[in-house]
Amino acid sequence: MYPFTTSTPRLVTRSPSPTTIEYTVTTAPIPPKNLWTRYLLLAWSVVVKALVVGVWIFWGGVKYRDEVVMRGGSLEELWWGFGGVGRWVESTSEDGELGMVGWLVGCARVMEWWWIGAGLVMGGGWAGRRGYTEESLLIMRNLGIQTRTCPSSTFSPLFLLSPLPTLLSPLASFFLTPLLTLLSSLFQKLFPNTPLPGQSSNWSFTSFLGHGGTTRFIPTSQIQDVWIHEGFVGFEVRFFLGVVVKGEEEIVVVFPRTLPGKRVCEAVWRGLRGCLYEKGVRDGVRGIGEGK
Amino acid sequence: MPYNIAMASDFFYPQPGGVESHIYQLSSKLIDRGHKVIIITHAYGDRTGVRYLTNGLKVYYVPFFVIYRESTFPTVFSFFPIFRNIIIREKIDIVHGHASLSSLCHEAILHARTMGLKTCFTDHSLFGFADAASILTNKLLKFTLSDVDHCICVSHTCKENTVLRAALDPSTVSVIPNAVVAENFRPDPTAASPDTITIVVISRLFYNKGTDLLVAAIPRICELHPSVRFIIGGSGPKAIDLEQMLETNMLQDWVELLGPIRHEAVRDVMIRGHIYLHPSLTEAFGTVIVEAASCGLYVVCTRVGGIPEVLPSHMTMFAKPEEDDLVAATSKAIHALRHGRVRTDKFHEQVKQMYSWTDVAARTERVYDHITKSRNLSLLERLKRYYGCGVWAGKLFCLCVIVDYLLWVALCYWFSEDKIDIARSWPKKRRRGMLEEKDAVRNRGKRAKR
Repeated sequence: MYPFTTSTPRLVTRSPSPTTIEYTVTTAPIPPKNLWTRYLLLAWSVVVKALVVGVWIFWGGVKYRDEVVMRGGSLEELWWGFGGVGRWVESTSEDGELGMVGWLVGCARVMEWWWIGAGLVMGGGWAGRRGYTEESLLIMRNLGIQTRTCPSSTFSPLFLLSPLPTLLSPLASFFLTPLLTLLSSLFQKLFPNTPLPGQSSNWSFTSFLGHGGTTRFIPTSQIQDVWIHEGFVGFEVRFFLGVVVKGEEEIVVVFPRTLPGKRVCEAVWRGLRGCLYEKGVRDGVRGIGEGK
Repeated sequence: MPYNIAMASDFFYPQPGGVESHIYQLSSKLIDRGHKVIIITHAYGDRTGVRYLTNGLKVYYVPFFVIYRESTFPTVFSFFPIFRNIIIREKIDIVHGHASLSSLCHEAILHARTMGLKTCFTDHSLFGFADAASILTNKLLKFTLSDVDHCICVSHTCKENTVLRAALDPSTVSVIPNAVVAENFRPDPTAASPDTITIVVISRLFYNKGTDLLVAAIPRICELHPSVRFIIGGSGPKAIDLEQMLETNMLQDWVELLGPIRHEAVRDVMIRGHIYLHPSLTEAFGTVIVEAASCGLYVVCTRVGGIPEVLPSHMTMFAKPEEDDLVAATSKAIHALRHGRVRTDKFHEQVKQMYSWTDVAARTERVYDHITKSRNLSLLERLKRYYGCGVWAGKLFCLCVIVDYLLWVALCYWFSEDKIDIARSWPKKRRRGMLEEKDAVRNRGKRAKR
């Protein structure tokens, strides 16, 4: 799945009005030029979606098809299930043996409904994950800048609304949080690499499910300075673009998740400086590597 | 040709000390000569990340475990990924390690050799051969130094010691002494009292610094010369012995204890005296006696370690490291001063002529020139060298080197080189040698035109 949904971070510049400019760093895949590869990608997404839909239909089947013949959910069932692979299309054969679908349905009936529900939420969440990261910086002349990190899931707003995660999270946090806290503290002990300011190092349940998007607006009067520096991230030294905000101890890192590298940072820095301190917004728009 | 040099050591500022100031001074002078220098050390408290010092000296404070007295935990391999990243992004050609007790330095040298870079090592201290800790350190030293391109020691005694400890070929070891910034140690003849002779002692109060000798000698010197006063600066576990001695002999009016002194304040204490007394039992170089001579003090010191090499005989009075001889030497020095047989006022200019960091940097540069010309060894040749380190140790070292090599291959695959951003260099000064050469060429051109 990986090579299809992400690419190396790249910069997209947009200037929706003469006084604004937006820099977006994204790892989203570039649509391939080759037609066949496009078909392959399309087929892949169709398969993923079909699977999700299939699960839904199957769940509906569990609810309404009481007439499906089944024996109890024992270990024998498993053997029957595999033995019946050849006859998986029919739900039951003539001599009353169960086929694959029949077995699956049978198993599903034995399961508790909340188990299936949770599985679906998890599966749906996974299917809805973007798989790529997108972060942007919007500069508005005389007003300020706004940093934005895209939510990692297309369903994120749904997640907030639906009662399921709310119900699940105390349960999950009861079991997961102590374990994860222990693991992360152990990890921190072993590799006390301090993350960049603004980058959260703690693992939590929300990052387990996928983080929601965040936006932050910083008015021009609050911006003290903008610079590029280097810092340790994991086993690497990376460049980052930092905004020094008045009255705050930590600097604001502009693309904290993608950390797009020197060339992109320099391009955005030039645009940002040009926009905030020097010339018109349009002058700030420069391609990468065009020089000073 | 200007080089890109990485200095690797556990010991660097903000912690004060001799090795730290050596690395700083050498680096800044090398930058003056047109090279690019970075320093790799571990994080000190909240000082982690990348910092710039004066003159564009870049320091990487790598976040790491500290186990004992600012030495990092010797994990052998865990430092490699970050180290490789730094080396590639800074385009380093030479890795220069400092101090034999620093595991970061040893690891850096091992990894640098695996990556095929040139390496150099500077030893700053003397070690014994008998106790368990020394044996372990010496084995470790032998491991890394089996495959280092060149070694630098701060004195000839230190060279002898290192050659014996690490079983090195003496021809691969050079001696480049420390230096002092003479401007920071200017004499001030008006500061010292004209009526009495003041003896200054500034050292950490430890056994190896000869504090016991000092405790025994002070009452006898005071008895022989009632007009002599002492000023003692520094702290350590032996401070209590010193205080007890003062109370038993009631010498509070003769001896002034100052406690710990910051490095910047050392000069202000030194200029108050006439004689500097250095009773150390072991010393690789002894920068402090050069500083004392630069301040215009007559130096009385023990003839141990590298001390006899440091100053010319007209500036020093030597003693054996024992009580009677130390008292006799001090008395001689007091007499010599009283009768005006020593011209301490000329010391500063002479020291300035003898010691300068610019000179140290120029000599270090020659070492670099030498090692860059040498041939790179293949992995098999390197393994042969390590194998000769000992019956069991040899095999263990070989294993370490092979694992390191495999790790390198894996790292090259995972973190491929073309994905690592190259850091921007600090705007460079023109190299002095190159400057002169260019001027010479220009002048020749002008002459030809005429």
